[in-house]
Amino acid sequence: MKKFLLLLIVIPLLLFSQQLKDDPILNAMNSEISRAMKELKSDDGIKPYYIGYTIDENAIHNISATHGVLTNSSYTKSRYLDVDLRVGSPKLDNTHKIKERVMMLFPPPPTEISLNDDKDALKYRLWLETESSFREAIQRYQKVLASTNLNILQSDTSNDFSIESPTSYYENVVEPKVDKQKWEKLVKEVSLLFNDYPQITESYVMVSFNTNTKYFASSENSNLKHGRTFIRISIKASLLADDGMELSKYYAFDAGNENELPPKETIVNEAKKIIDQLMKLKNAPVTEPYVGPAILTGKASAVFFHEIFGHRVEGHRQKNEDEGQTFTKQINQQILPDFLSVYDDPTLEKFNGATLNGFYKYDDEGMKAQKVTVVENGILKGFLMNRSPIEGFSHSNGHGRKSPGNKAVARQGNLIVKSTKTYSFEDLRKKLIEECKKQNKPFGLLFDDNEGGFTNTGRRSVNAFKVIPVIVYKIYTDGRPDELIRGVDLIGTPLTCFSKIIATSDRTSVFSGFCGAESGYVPVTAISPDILVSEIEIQKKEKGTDKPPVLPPPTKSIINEEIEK
Amino acid sequence: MIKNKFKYLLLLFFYFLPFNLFAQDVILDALNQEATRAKENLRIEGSEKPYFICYNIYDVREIDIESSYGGLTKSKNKLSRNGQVEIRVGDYSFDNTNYSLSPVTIMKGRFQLPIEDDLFAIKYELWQITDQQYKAALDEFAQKKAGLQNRTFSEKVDDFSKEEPVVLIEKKNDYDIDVKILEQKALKYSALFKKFPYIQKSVVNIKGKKGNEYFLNTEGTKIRKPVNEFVIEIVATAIDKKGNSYSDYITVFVNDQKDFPKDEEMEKKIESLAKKLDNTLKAPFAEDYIGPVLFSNEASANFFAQLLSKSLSGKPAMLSPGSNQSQLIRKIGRKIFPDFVNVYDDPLTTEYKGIKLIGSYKVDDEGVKAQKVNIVENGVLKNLLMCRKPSSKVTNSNGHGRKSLNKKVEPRPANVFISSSQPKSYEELKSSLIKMCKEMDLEYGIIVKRISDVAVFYDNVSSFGTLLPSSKSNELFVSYPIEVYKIYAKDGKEELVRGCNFANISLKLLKDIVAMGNDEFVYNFINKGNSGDLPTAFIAPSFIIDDFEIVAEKDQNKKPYFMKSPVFSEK
Repeated sequence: MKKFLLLLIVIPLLLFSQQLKDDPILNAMNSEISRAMKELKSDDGIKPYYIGYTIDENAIHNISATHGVLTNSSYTKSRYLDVDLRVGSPKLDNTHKIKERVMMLFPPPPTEISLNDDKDALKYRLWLETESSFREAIQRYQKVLASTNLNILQSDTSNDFSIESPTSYYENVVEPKVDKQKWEKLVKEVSLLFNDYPQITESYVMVSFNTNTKYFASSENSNLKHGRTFIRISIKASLLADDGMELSKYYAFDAGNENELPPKETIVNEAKKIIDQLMKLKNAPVTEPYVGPAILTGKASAVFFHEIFGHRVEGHRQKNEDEGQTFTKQINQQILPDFLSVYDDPTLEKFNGATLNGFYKYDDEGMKAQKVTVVENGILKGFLMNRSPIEGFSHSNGHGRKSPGNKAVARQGNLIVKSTKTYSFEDLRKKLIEECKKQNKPFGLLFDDNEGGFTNTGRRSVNAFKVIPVIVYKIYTDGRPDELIRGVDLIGTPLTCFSKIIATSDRTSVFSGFCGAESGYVPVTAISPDILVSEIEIQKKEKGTDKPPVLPPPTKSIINEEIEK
Repeated sequence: MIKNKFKYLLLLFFYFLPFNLFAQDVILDALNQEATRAKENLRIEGSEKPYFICYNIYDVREIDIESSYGGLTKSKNKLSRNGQVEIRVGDYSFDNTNYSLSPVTIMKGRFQLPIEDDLFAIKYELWQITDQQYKAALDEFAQKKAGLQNRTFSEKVDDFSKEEPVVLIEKKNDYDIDVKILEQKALKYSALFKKFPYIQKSVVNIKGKKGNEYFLNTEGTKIRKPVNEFVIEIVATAIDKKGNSYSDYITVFVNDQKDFPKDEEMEKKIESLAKKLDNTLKAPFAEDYIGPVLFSNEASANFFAQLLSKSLSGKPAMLSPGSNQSQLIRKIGRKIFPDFVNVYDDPLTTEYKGIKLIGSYKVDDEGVKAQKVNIVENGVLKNLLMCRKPSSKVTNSNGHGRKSLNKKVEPRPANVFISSSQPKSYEELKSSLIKMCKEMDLEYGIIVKRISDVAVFYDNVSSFGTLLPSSKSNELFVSYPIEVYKIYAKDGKEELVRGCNFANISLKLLKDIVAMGNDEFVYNFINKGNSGDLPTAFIAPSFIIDDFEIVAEKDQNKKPYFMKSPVFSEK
């Protein structure tokens, strides 16, 4: 059995070893790691026990237009370096969480490293960054030692760093050829549609091609090069209602390569739909606070789950004393209705043909991405783990993520909600009306689209969430047509929410975006069916005080203006 | 039919030709149309009307290349049209400005224009930002009125001066920068440092801006001027065995990338920079010293630049609490230098002895014509630099309102000339220094030859930024010297020393200047300040100052690196 395991490790190592050896970046990283592991030593004998280097390369084409005119057409390439240097031991090291007041107004910008593959230039930057990380690590470690002597024991005494086997993977990442002219023409054309609607104060159409390549090497002999291209066409428009409320609508098409992008007509139609919806929203009535049954359609419920559930099963939060630790002690207990299961699967590149933004092969600590069963039939089974172990979970499951300049923590990738109690959407709607009648409510709500949300998982303030819906309808029980309303925020406390999910539909929606948390912005996706909840709370959206523009928008030509005068 | 068509074509030709050559500038047209429309009609019922609107557009390609040891760490290249709108409500005597309660100046009225010349799309952006900024101005006006309600003022000073409108449309500039060539240069220069193992850190930075700057206000001022700014900055840091680190730099400012020195010349400059650092590492440490000090011309120009830049502003403190003003405002008419010193600022001079002055301009950033200002005559402070914010004594701008993108204008120096009516040769100054030392029984005197450049060190030397006083304070500061010599009284021998700094810097020191030279040096630099980082020149000769304090900074006692640089470790 042992031999077999060994073979399993050796075979991929052999496969990649030649490519790894030839890669100038990995080469430079490895040579500096071995030098640093050998030579770095403080005056009182402290040495690093682990060094991990990440180089994050982004090649981005951004093309955007407003009112038929280009506002940007640029190509930028950047390479950022992060050093994870640890002193002490996996049991207790410099990253150990201690009570400290850190005033950080603006985080320092991430470290840039040579864009060309020059050996000296690469190593030079690696060395400078390693030196400063080492200095920081020693100082922090002294603080950790002092603080663990003083403070009472934390309830979770797990190690600071998990022991893992090295990983090895190599792939060539190819930047797609971008036909600049073609895309410039397209975004200009689509953005021109908004010209006929002077009420829409802001609008843009943008296409971006982002090729991300990650290099990772560590003193544990991990060596990785992997990457992907993510293409997004986005349309956004906003306007001010007569009472000063800002209303906006956003739509995005995502793809892994150009062939998967929709034809122009689809994009044009989506832009028209946005205009149409905004115009309707502008005249929609503002609603009063409401508590009652509602349907969250796929995109809304995906964000709902990402915010109120996903963030609370991120492993590192279970041992941080500042966190609310909603689920920490609930393993093997029922936390969701028994017809729901939740997974996080970053290894999925596509779902029903949609490109998933939360896809990756290896996480930012060099761990292989894994599908994690978080909830099975309503019962909590696990957490999303990075290399920071918690009680009962001593290993990473490939969810250590960050953006350049940050330290990796456990984050979501592709969060997937599955249901066994499904109805067709039409039946779900009927069930909503039934539920309303049962509760004596004249109407229920249908949340059809939303722009995002946020949640607070900490202890210091209310452990709550807010999702910002854009398109909300009142569904009347007496058969009146649905009524579009505006200006609502969906609020609540997470634990009470889950128990109120009654049923789901049989269709699923994908919501991709970028999630911001302590380790920076990372690409994520959430996938969920439409859900019916027996009770949801909405509050009035915070309203801007700005009045709509005083003057009418400018006219299109000089001549018109002359006539006007 | 054919004939008719021909006639039509001819007509078109005559009609459009002059248009294409001179008038057609979509940005100017858009600014003009929107400014006029807003001035005439922008008004919320029951509120103040805007009495002044001005737009600033920076339509430039900006590049920023950085390289170390033959690797490109950064190469940014961006064409953008950034703009700013300023709106004043009330009137010239009392408006929404000169009052701010927030400790941080949040610059409002910023916007970005489309990068294509489309009249409608540009006007659309202007319309929106003008509307927003008008509402913000009304808020400011209300806040100011409320804040000042219970305060009485002994004298009333206007908020804004009335100035003659200026129309200056210069030839439209292109945005062409050959980035590849500049990248090659940066790579090549940075790779040269592989020859000098004692230099542990080095960086070559090439920056450039090319395009046009637009300015238009509702008083009739209309300006289009070309932007052409290129610079090479090189910084190297050597570290001795004890961990003491020493940095030195090269800057080259030009108008056009073609004007950069030839590679051979740059190589020589780099060789000499490296040699200087090598000499510094081998030099003995300086000791504490009080006595006469000779600042040779380069050090002199930099010294004055740092000491005077902030203090030359004649802008009075704002009406809001916590605002301060230059110490010199109260000294107008008083002696601040010895009799023989004259100081003036002249943005209109573009060259001095064949050397380009980077502080030059024809019109300042408020659209006011540049003027020569006599600051010090025979040692007496006569005038300070003014923007359009009047003071109790000076009612008008003297063309020194300056700022960079997204900042608020302040009076800032342009090209400051400092000279003596009794100039001495450098040799004479040296003899005087020795004589003074002998009279005071000092074994040696001090010559400061070069001082660190604040902007360059701030960006490239670690922890240099922590030395600087906060941008809000009025504290005076001169950064540490990088080339200091002892000159022995007995034989006049010079000896390089290392590790020292200036102490007790104040404007009172200026009176202790005992003699000045005839060897004016042009110090071109980027002057950091609240209204932005501005190209500026100080032109000054060597001088001797008495009773000057130098403090020794021996062992910095901090091991900077645990390992050797990998660039040299294998050699």
